[in-house]
Amino acid sequence: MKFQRIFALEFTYQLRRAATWLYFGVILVITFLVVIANYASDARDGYILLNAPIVMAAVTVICCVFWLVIGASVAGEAAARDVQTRMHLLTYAAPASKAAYLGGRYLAAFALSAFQLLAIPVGMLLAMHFAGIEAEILGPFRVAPYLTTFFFIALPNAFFATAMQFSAAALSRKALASYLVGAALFAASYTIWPLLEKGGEWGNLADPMSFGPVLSHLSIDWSPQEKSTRFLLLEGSFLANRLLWFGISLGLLAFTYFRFQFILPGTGQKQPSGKPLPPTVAAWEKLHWGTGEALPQARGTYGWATQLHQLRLITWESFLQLAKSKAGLPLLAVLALLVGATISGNLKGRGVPLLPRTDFVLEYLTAPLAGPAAFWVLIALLIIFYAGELVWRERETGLSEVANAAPVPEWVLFLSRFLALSLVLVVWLAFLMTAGMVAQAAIGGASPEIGLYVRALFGLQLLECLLFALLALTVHVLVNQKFVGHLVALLVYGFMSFAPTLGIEHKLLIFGASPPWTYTDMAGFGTSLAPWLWFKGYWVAWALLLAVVARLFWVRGREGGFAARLQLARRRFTRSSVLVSAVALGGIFTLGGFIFYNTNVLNGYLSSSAATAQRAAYEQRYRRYHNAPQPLLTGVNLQVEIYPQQRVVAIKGTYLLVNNSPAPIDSIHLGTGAGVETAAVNFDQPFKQVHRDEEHGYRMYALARPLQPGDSLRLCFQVKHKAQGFSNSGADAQVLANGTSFRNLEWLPVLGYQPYRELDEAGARKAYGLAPRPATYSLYDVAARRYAPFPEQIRFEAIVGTDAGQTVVAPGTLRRTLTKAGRRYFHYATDAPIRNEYAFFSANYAVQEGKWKSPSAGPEQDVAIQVYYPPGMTENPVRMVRSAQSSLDYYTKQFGPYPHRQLRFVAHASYAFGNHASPINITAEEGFFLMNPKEDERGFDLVTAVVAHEVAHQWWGNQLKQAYVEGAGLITESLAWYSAMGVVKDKYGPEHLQALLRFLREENETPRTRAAKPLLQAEGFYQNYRKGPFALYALSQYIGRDRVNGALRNLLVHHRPGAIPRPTSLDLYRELQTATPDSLQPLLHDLFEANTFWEFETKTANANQLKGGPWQVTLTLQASKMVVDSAGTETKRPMQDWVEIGVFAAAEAGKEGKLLYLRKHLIKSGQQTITVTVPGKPATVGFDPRNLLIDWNLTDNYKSVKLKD
Amino acid sequence: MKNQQGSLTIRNVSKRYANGVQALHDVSLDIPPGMYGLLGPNGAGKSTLMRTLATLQEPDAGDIFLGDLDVVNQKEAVRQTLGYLPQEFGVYPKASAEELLDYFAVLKGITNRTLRKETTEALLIQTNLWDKRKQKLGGFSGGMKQRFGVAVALLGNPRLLIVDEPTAGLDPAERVRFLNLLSELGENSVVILSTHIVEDVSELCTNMAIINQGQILLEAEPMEAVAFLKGRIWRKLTDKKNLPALEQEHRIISAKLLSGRTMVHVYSPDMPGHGFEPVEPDLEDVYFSAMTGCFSSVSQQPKAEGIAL
Repeated sequence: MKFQRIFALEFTYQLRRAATWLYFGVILVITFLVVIANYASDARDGYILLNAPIVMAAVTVICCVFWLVIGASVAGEAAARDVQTRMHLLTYAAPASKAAYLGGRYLAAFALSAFQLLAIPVGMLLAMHFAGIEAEILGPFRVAPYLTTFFFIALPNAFFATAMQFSAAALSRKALASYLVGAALFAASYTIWPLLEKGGEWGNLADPMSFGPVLSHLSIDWSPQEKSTRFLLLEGSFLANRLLWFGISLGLLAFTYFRFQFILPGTGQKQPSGKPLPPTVAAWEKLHWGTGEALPQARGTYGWATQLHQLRLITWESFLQLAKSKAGLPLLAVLALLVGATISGNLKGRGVPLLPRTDFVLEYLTAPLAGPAAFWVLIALLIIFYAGELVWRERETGLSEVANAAPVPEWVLFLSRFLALSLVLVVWLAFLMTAGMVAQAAIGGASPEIGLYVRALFGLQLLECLLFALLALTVHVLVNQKFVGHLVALLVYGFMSFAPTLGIEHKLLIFGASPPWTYTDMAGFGTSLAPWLWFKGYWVAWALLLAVVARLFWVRGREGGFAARLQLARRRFTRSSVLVSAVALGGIFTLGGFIFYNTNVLNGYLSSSAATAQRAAYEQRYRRYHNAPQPLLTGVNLQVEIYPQQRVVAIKGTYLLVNNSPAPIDSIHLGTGAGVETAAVNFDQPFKQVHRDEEHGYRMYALARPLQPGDSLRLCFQVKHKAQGFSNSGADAQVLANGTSFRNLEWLPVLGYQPYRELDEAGARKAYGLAPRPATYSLYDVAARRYAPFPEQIRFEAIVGTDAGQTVVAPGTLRRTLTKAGRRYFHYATDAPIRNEYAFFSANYAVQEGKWKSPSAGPEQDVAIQVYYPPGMTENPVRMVRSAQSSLDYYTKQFGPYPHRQLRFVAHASYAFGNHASPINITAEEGFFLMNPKEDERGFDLVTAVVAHEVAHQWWGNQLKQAYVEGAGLITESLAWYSAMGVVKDKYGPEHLQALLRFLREENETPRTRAAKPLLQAEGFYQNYRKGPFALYALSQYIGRDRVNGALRNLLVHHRPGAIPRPTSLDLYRELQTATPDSLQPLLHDLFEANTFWEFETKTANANQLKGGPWQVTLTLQASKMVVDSAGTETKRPMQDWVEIGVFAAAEAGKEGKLLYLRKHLIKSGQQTITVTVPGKPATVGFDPRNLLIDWNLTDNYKSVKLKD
Repeated sequence: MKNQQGSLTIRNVSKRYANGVQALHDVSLDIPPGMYGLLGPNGAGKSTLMRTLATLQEPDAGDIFLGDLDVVNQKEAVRQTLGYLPQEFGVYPKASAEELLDYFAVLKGITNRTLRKETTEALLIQTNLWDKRKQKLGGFSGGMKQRFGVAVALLGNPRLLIVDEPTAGLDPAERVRFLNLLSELGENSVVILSTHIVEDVSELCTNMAIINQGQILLEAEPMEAVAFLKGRIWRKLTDKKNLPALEQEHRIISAKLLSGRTMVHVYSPDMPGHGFEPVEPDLEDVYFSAMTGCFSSVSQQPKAEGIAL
């Protein structure tokens, strides 16, 4: 009975509170927004049905995670309200058992949590069926997914979270403990999964909210079919997760039960002071109260000096209060320790450790607070928490009335709290800096740049934190109710983080927002710092205004009524307040005005929806000219003037155009570049401009005399790029003081309609009434095969001028350089045609040079290899030159000649690691030079392999230019990796090839759906960069590498550069079919024409020694094969395939066992027995031991051999 | 209106809370330097008035002047000369008495280090906390904590000292000493003592007011008020069952149990009747008379006398 009463009282008490309903409402709104702003657009693009069970499950976990911090007070209140309201003096003395008291309270908290989480299904229902969502993106309405998501996800999550929060609050007797637990669970949800993703099952189990596993079902590991129909049921690892955390929760509750005592806080097992309390009634003689005469007559002095003294004192006291609490500096120190420990694990490019150069360490350590990125989410939560503590401390200890009656002005009271919080943040950043420097020292290879640390952390990151700290304090002052204050601050933080998703993109509207700053060794801050400072200046002005508001509304008395506070604020609005407000408003208007002028006047501001509309309009207006015959670009002659300091580039260009169509051409369609001014367009024939559309960059010129087939035409133009201030996303970073780079693709005019500028997303296409089409054109769309972006083969010549201290890199041979009027000029010209894609670079480079001599040709055919790298990073350039030499050696032999006299790698300032292979000049991002393969635990040199891959693109992508359809990646990226494997094997040795294959197979360990189109229609990273190379490699192991390479050679011969139709994966397939013997044609089909998966298992392996030494090994094998379509339908296929069987001797320490036997056997579906004879004593057997055929479950392929006497 | 230097003038102050409670209703008081007692039952509006005087609350209407200072609009200046000991307060449990007193000394504007040291030492000695000055406040008893509050309130030699129910947590000895200290202080300053204990006022205060339900029932000097009642208070020992009947006939101002019987005090200008005997009135009778409205008809009289003085 008591239990019921306790439960009922708690439940109804909290249910009557406005906060409970507020939390319910907030979760409802968040659910609604997650559905509408996040998933509806995915549904419109056709990836999912909006009300598919897994989508609802994803919405549920996301909202559960938000609920952790929003509704945290429920459990805390239930567990600790009695102590905090001092009711415990009555309740603890009441004759209720501990079980009834704790049980009733816990269950009430759980019921209230469950009630709040009911907002999720309600929100989903409202968003999906009552918010005007179109019927096409919804499946039929079903009740079941609402029930399963609530009962399998929300309810258990509520149970676990409430148990943890309740226990923490009950044992610490502080309601706030539950808030901290909620924040920790919130952070865990975002961090556990990324850390443990590779751990598969462990990751599933370790995530109490099941946040990561559910979201990854939706993003990678469920097939489209599963995504639209499959329910998330209590099975497998999900069930294990629920049971595990249910057990942990029960354990925790039991612990709480045994640990909790009905005694007054502070009178527990030990005296806090360690000394016995003095008797409360003092003896008479001790009562020497003084007399009035002796009263000190000291009076205070007042004025600025006193106020500053008070400011200093309160700041320091408040700082100490925060610093000493467990959630203060100790927690921050632990956090910094953890961050420091993760640096070496995260400072990697594709798994290769990086040299810990300070700029890259800082890139990891800093982030905008409203990311929500990495550990800064935690810092944001802690700032909110600290702000609450600072604002509420005096009131909670009961000292507020004494303190507030003291002659301390409000501005001192507020500012001191802010300064205290600032000090905490400064200490945190100092911790972080220490963590970074210790990590640098531990990793080795780069020394810390203290100055850079100080600038980045105590200059930039600190300001980022302080703005938010001020906001959090102001919110707490204004809301004047601690938990609601936390909630409001959280919502504000959520808004700051997700505003762009909600359609609010302009950074003048999102508190604290600014374009990000970047700093790399090569380019420094580049152009990123100025806009950052302007925006932050603007927000500092806002912060000043907020501070004034906080001062006006600072609470000194007990009155919380709005009218009373407003009256008081009006009274406090003195001349100095007016003055400061005026300064703040002045700052807001002048800085805001200046920013607006930059973002919206100098750089026309386009919201993402306006940008989408613009692309749609481009297609609507000009698609009809797609097939209008246009002359072909065959020559480019440019005069380029780069002014790095002024951020200006001026280009004068001439295009040589030839009509290679069978009909005369009377009008020229010109697409102009974005972000540049195109002017002085002229032809060497009479012409007239008939259309000019600057917004969409489309112009048409009518020729007075049509251009006859075979005739040519000269087109002259001027293009000027002048970086104008900055835009909402920051300043243009193409022209920098050091590290300028720009491409023809963006700036220079192109001929005809450009399909690559079209809108690809299905939902957006529909919204703008464009004809539906796949995001990538179908492989079987014959018309689409005629198109590829920038496919023309051109002769290129350019004279490029830049500042005297810089080097310009452009395609072709550097004919000469000269210095004129304090500027340096570089004259480049190609010796053979290049594809129409090129970039210009201007920076202060160091150069590593090498030479490759063609064994079959004279010295005039030598290729100069040059690596233009950031000064200081000398190790990789040497590696790169060597790899490039090996690559040229191998590729020219296998595939055909390299047509150019140079091969260059040119560094581009950025944090990235990738490369981009244009003809002759390959762009290498700055991070690539920091990769330190020597330290790679995998013993693998990725730098060498990637260079081989990029050089291969000089054949695959630049000579063979693929059509803009599905499967394009197979004949560029897959072929490049396949080719690189040959280089690695021949030039570096088979063990390096094994290492490369192991590296590529790492991707197989990430769980992902099997659903996919066949490889011929390859799309996406995994197929292009992994599955394609595996298939080509497997084929080469079955039919021989020479045959595969011969087929590739033929592919190049049959598709000369510039020929139409452009090559597709089908052309590759045809060549491979020709090269493959009949017996292996089924394998070729399985590899490329169907999305095939094999399943191999070695069930038993027994061996006995024959007379005279050899061993006979008998294997029982299980095999099957299936084909999975792109929706995820799995179809078993009968198997009759040649599969390798391998037998290995026992492994010696640190080495693999010696290969005793490796031969292909014809394997059929189902179970079978095979007997082989091997010369030595066998230890293990492998079924397809080299993993040539795609089998994602490798563990059961191998078996230890059982020896029989 | 010109104030006597240093006195506190309250004019027509009203306060209604958001929940509808009318805490103060048109309160006007003149408080000269010296001890002033504000007597009233729990919930009478004492604390509201005290907090308003302590600048922690805004009146809805009315003016308050401390000398020339406008308490409502010149809060900062008032706080510079204010000492406030609230009815309930807490302390930072991990701070020592010395530390926290030093902290408040700075808040009260005593920034000179030597002066501050002298002041805090003197106050610690006076409040008999000197031996405990290093001890953490978390271990203080209620009385020690209260003494510490007094020390804080006395910092900066306040001209206006507001003590809200100060004797509630003190044992009898401490209470006496505390009141002595207050009365000595009251020689130059306005000291307002709010209490529901009649003895606190009768022993110390030169002036007093009785407040109930937000209204001032009586403003007087205790002696005069007692003198005014002389001959008007009668007592009778009776049984409990007779009370209703007595209540019909007489204005009973109090009834106390005395050895199983009930002693009633009755207000009457004349001899109320058989069995009653005259009582020498004390301040408790003043208090109960005021509470039962016996002063309402004549309340202007003692006040007028007071002002005439």
